[in-house]
Amino acid sequence: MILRKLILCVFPVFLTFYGCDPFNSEFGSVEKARYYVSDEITDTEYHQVLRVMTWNVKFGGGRLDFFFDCHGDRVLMTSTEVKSNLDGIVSAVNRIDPDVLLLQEIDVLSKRSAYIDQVKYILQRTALNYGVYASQWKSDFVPSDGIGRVDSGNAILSKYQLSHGERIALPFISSQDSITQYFYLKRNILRVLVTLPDRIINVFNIHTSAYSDDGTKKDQLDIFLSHLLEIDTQGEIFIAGGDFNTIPPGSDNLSDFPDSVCTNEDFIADDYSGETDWLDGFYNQFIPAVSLSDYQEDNSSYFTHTTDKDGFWNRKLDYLWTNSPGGFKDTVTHQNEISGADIKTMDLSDHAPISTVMELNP
Amino acid sequence: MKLLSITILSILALPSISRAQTTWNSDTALVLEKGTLETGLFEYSHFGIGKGMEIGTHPLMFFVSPQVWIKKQWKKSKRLALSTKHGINIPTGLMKILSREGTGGIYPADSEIPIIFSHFHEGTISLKLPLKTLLSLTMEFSNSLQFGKSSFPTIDLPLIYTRTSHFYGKQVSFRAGMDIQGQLGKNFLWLIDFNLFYMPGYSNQKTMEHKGALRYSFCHMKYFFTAGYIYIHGEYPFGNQSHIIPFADFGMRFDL
Repeated sequence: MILRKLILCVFPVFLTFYGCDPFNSEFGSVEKARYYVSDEITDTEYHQVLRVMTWNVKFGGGRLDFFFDCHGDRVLMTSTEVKSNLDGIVSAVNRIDPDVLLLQEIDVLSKRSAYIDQVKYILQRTALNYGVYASQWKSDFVPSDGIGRVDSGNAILSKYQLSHGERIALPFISSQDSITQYFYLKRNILRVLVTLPDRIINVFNIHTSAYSDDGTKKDQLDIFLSHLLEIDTQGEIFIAGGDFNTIPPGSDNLSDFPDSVCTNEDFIADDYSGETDWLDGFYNQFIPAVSLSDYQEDNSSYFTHTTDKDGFWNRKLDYLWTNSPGGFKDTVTHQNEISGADIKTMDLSDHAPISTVMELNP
Repeated sequence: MKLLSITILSILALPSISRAQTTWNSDTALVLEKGTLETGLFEYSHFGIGKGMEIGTHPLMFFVSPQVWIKKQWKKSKRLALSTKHGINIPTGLMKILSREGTGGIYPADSEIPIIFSHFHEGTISLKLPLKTLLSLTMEFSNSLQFGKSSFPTIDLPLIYTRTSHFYGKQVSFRAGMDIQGQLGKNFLWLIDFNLFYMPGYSNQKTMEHKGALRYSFCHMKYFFTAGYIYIHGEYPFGNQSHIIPFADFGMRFDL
């Protein structure tokens, strides 16, 4: 009798508590970020100067040609391939030696990258001590293209302690059906406070939608801008950056880039002709690492992206901003070994990193 | 000692298990009587062919992943039953369908799927316990033979990872299972089972599954609803993970 009652009571509980999110793909509007700490903490000398770097590292895929680029058909990598590519990224990071590093498309538990926790991998091999991570694409299983399990997102690594890390959800692509949306990338803003010896600053990292033609990317950028304006209004200092997936005002070329070979509409992302003023708010309100005048004078020196490993960078998608009155100096777009730090970045990702120096006033 | 005494007393008190048609017989040593067909929307269908034997397959999957098994009851008494089950499966067609670009691409499009000849063999002993309870113990061995180029990744999902594990590594896997079931009143059956999987050749080689389910039978036990949960704690290539998965099915039993 007791067994019978037990079964009849417990049964509905099991049935009801599971099932809303069977593949663990969903997020709340604001969630805590995942924290990382290096096994070995490296001492840091602080001189009121911060070297900041942003890089979309393409989940350690290097220049393998993946199906979504339409240059190849690769889906999964071997552990050896991932580690080899990550070692190149680690080497570049160590040469630039940033105090704060913004990473996009970093995998922590994905089948495509042999389940290597790339945040941990980089943290353990650089002078960076602390990290926060927010998933952008997470699912126990993506039943498409053989992708399988994925957990990929944005991270902020720092030599200084981090706190109040949070993942702020951004709107989904509204034109997608609900099943596609469930398994698709869920864009977000990663925000954290960096505790420097004499102050605390906000750091924001974003990677907006690449493939959307319904205004979602614009909405995401506007939300990001509103967060930065709020921090600015409160009199706090921020560094904000990432892969914005759009080009600056005054770009000479707006469409038909030479590396665009996709015919599948889901992966076409080479027409920015309707986006030329989408970053105006950022340029008008804040200080960019690469000034608009410098960029408009010579677009190509600041390009950060190409999907073609045999070509060269052909558009600028990656940015760093601040509201600190001192702004940035010594900004380098690491396009190749000549442009700075002797790094062959073309082999390491489909994005080139940007590094800069931020002077903090006493 | 107390446990041993209870076990011996239970065995001595075993009533007949000849009227076992109201049981779940999928993971027991019981077989369907000749001419009886049991089938469900998702479950395997099985059919009693007489002489203590039944055959089974999955009607929905048969055309893309042909599978057939035969179960033979070797011993049946008032106290226990003993059977073995032997099956073959050729999943190559299904795997090729699932190796594709876009939605439904479970395997990458560049996978190389060989001809896979999978076979399994299991032995089960069932003991009738007091309170209309049946205990079954099972041991299973699975192996696959492969012909042609082979390059396809594991499916790192609960239930599937263990059941396809013999396609990889040393191409063998083992299962030890315990199944307890009993009646609740006239129309309800309950089932609790535990399965341990061992996949040699993997670094992630052990998985435990536990199932709890209720079955409601009606119309002279010809139709039944089944609902329950499966709890899985497994070692996967990405680490250890636990899942609870609900399931439900509708089935029927005919005397043809």
